[in-house]
Amino acid sequence: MNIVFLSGKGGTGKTTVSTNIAYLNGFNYFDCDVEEPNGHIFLKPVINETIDSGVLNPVINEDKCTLCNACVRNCQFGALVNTGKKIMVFNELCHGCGTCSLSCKYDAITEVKRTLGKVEVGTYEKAKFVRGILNVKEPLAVPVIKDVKKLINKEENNIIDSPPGTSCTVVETLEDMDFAVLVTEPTRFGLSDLKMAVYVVREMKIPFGIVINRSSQDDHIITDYLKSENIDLIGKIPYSMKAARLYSEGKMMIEDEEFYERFKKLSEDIIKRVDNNERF
Amino acid sequence: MKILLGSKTKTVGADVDNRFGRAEYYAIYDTDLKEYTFADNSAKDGAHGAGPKAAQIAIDLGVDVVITGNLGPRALAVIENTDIKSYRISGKTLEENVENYLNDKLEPINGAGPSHAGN
Repeated sequence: MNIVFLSGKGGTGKTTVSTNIAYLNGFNYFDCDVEEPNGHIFLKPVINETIDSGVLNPVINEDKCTLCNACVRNCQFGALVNTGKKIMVFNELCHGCGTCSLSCKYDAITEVKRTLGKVEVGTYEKAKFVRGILNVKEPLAVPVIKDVKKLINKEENNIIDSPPGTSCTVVETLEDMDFAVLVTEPTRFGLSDLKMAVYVVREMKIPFGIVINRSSQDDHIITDYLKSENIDLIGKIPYSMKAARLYSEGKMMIEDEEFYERFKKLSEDIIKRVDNNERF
Repeated sequence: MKILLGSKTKTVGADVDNRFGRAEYYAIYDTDLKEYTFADNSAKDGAHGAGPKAAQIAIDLGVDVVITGNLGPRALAVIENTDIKSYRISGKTLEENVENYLNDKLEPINGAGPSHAGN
């Protein structure tokens, strides 16, 4: 069973909610927010394996290349340019799809692995902890996310922490998820990005529900929208100084008695929905 | 000889578009025929890599000269691997720039400008 936590807007509390729910239930935790993974701050895992993660880039053998242009024509990412004298390769634009090498009739392209980041594998408490880390300056996050997800065993209970936004990285993370928890905040910005996230999970036909973090008197910004779209509100986490303090110290919310009760209830409410596999 | 310039519209009296990869259109001035033709820029709406794609367009159009505001690092790397010469815009319209070029008044582009400047 795979439960993914996403938000659209960054900084709404995906990691706060997902780490606490994972910990309470002893579920495996996978950090797919590879540009800035931070689940380890709260779950404090022991890492015992590091795997190199990368992408295959083409290398042109100029002795064999006839400048026929097939590779350039077929590249969907503009990573190859034919200057008329040689084929230039822009590795940072290459997605490693391999189309160039398949389309080369002259066997002039070999694919060489380029490292983009790494995947760390370990344990916290008795559960599995996995996180991807994208190298600084690297724009291509999807291959690292794919490598994180290869380690998911669907027979086990897994919590997946998604990157923010609604682009390729999030779509890749959402593949093969059984239920999505959309964590939002009662601001106009939170709502705007929530709408995009809802659009994506509906498009991908993943059952989902909403958690409002930093809940306040402004909740109507979100709840009005949820009512109009008939979307399920799973629960709320209040806006509080205590929560902010725990977070800033890298502590779990459930270390506090009041938050323990709230997260226990929230956790039950999420799992009930996953079990029912409710579709909205 | 053919000169490529970024162009705001597909008309002879148009202003130049100083972006290279993300120019609205391309104007191609043929110095022998003394005529402008115009081309769409298929590179301008991509998420990444407009510069090298635009350089490929310039190569495929068979131009000898590019007049633009700046060339980013990737576009410059491509242009430097060809016989195409690049010059910096001076003047508001296509015609002013072509005239300035023909009178040797444009400065050659040597170093790369910043990445993603045309976004």
